[in-house]
Amino acid sequence: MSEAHESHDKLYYWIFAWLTVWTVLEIGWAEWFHPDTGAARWILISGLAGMAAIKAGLVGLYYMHLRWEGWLIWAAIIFPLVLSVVMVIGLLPDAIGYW
Amino acid sequence: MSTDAPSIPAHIPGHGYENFRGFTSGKFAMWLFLASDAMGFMGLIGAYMVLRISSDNWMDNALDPAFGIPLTAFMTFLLIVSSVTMVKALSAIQRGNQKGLLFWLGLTILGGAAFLGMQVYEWQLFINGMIDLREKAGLTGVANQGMTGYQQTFFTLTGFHGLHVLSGVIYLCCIWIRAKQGAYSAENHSPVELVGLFWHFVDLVWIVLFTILYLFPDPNSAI
Repeated sequence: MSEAHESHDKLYYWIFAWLTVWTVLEIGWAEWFHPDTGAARWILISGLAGMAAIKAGLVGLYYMHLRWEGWLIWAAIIFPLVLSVVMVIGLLPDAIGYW
Repeated sequence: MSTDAPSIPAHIPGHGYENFRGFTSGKFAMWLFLASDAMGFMGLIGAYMVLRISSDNWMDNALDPAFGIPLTAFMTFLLIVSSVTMVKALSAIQRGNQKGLLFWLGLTILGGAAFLGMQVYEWQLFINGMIDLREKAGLTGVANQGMTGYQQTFFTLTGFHGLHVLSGVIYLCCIWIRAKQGAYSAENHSPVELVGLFWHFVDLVWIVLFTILYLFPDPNSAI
């Protein structure tokens, strides 16, 4: 049991290192691909969104232990999240219609 | 009739007093709460996106002060560090190490409190910046009241998240006091796991907010 916890501790530090690296990369990305530099907006936004999703995923999977949870916990969070995404997609026509 | 023990174990070593499919009812309830809380945040973020995209002039340099990215980046780093200290606290009590639990929980509380202090400082800078810009723009009377959409959404999103951090710090303090009283052990530490879930959720939400609020560029500066 103790060895298992030891290996988890190492994993937690690795996740911390990756979260830090992704945060630095995110800030760098926002600078390098800022619209003022002439870079395409979709490169900037998709890159930032992708990196934020990776960071959120790392926290959820490893720090919140979702990676080791059963289907019932996953089911409890997947349905509300899907509904949330549907709600945001449902709002988008308001914004896009304006364009 | 068999008198054997039930096939589902009442306790799985190292994970607290799980009693159904490897988790407690409290843990399931916490996940349901976090899922509903995530829907609340998604509602605010959705509204923010619509307002921002549909605005002709989202960030008005004459009225809206710029964000301090280095400060908020450090705040992000601080929350990530506090997530590590939180998992270390849980890891400590899973091994029955009560002193370790108190130490790592204490660091997590300090991290959360420091984040809140920096958020107050950031708000102060932002509000002072707003006042300065309004004076430069010569706004007086009714014109000097109210806020731009940029300012409203900034205060709503960071304020809602800040209240979560405050709740998390208070929740952590309650768990720390119970830990000090020796309430938790290797066999009984479910409340520590639950407060950890809440704290990591607060960190996760900030990761998203930091990106969309501070790093996404002004839509009107598009090339």
